[in-house]
Amino acid sequence: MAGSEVTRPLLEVENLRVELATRSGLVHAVDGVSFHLEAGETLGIVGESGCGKTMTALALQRMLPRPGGRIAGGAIRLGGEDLLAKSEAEMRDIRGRDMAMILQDPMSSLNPVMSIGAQVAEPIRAHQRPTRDGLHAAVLRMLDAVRIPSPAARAGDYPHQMSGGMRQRVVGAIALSCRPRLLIADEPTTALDVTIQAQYLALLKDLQRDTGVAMILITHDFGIVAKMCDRVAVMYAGRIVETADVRTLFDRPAHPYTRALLEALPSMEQRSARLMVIDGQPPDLRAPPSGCRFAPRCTLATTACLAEYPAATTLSPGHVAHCIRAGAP
Amino acid sequence: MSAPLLEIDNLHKHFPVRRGLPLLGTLQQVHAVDGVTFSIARGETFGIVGESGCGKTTLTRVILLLEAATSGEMRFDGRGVNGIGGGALRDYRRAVQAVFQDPNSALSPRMRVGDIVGEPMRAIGTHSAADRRIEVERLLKTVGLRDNAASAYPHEFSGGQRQRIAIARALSTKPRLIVLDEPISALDISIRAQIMNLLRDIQDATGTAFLLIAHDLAVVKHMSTHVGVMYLGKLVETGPADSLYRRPLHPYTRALLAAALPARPDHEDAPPPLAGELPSPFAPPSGCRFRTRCPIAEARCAAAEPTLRPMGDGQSVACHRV
Repeated sequence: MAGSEVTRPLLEVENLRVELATRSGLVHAVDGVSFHLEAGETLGIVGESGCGKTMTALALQRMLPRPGGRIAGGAIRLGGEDLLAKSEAEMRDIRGRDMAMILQDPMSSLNPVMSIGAQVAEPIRAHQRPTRDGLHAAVLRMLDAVRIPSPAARAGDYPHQMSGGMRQRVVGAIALSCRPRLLIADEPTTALDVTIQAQYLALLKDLQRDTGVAMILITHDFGIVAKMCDRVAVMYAGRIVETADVRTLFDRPAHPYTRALLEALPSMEQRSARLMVIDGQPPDLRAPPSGCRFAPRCTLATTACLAEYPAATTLSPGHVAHCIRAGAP
Repeated sequence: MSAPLLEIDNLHKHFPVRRGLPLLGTLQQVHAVDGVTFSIARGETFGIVGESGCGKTTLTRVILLLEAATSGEMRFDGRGVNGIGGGALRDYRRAVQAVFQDPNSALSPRMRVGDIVGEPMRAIGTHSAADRRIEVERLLKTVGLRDNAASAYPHEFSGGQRQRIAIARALSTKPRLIVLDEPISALDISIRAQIMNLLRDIQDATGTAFLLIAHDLAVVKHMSTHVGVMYLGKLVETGPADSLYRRPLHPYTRALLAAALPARPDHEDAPPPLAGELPSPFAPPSGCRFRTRCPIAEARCAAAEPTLRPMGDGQSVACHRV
């Protein structure tokens, strides 16, 4: 931590814990997650179902499912301001203005009975109090920025009149309409076709270059990480097990879980007879094990792995893995 | 060995759709599958790639006889499939099984796993109840499920295990062809690898052919011996998987492969290969259906429709410009 005020990261998350009260017990969905994000940077949070990546994203916005979800501990600072100390009214101002979110399914983000122009106008009106003409111009500018063809003609359209790719562009226009400093995108292209996905990811990159927005990309897809991210955090069972810049993660993955995931991917370049698999299931997060959470599935595990949660091992600047064998020859 | 297992010849499936006001609107035909020809050899995996609306799911539904073809011919093991009934239909259903994307909707939540897996055997009456139980145990073991799985219900299993149950049921009739419609896209990475390995093991052990529908190009490459690329109801390119991925000829195949996500971060950042979206299937473009998005289209592409022609290395392509 080089802690002078000028070099402070845009977003700091420290020891974040999220609990979900369910009928079958209290789930420790996020259990001590720390990371940071610089202005204009793209961080990928990658992991499998139930690892806590989506709950982490929702916690950043303080939009955990209710009832049942709550932030049980830790700190979230955006631009140095403690988000957990904000009132609900203050959070409403921050959402949309300082941070915005894109979800997987555009239909769940869009109002089916409101024109897309009116939906793009909503956050601008709420946060910026523009004039009527200014608002109209801002809406068309945003629709143009996300490359909706002939925005003036399409602004009156309703979501059902658009394709999935176009709808997700509208969601992007809403999210970026107030020039937030942080954009959280949770599986933004999972519902899109291959060629439409390529268009959307290129659009996100262009918008980031133009506006300098920092991005957190939540994904299960290492292809998206490879294409989009500067740095990566790999999550498993409620914790980040490895963090690295994107090249280091692909070149020198240090955590056995990261390595196993990368080896389980089929490749277009070579045809291998069999893929590596990870046997077993992730642990029950109602009662997570005290040792390394991956140990029961890890081919390298020893009894020492079961004793206590592995401390962070720094392998090179910015490359951290929670494995007692990381860095060992 | 040389005669193909399944031959599809100029297959069409059109759906009537009323557009505009109910009862008053005009009745139009959507050509979901529009003149598709290909064949699947015994024991091989034929992969079909294409984006939403290209007709790949309709094609599988016609092959599974869940939809009647509008025209065209299907032959299985040299015998015509169109309009069969009675014993021939039962034989076909036994020989051609399917595994779908979502195991939750494919497995009855009120039936025990043993009954689910044994149901096809019961329906076709090939086994006594006692033999069925033995065969179910053998199938569950083949797909790697625990010993007492037969007495449990589907909700007691994870998504990957449920897909194993669906595979065990498909295997229960000793099929010669299994249609796999996005069999792993609902699963996590580590589980996907398990299911892909399992399917390959089953194919090696039994010689069952697969028709694989998937949107993930790396998965299709990994699993398939032959690949067909569909666009708006037509096959635009077919060929052995290795040569088609190494030397894609149709501009759509090239765009699709270029749009695939990189395997590593050290890739060149090229602009997205295709602008625009799929044209409306109600009014497909004249001539070549891809021409409205094609970077190399010219006047004749609007005038005449290209047909699949052989290009060497077993590849065929429907494009005037190749």
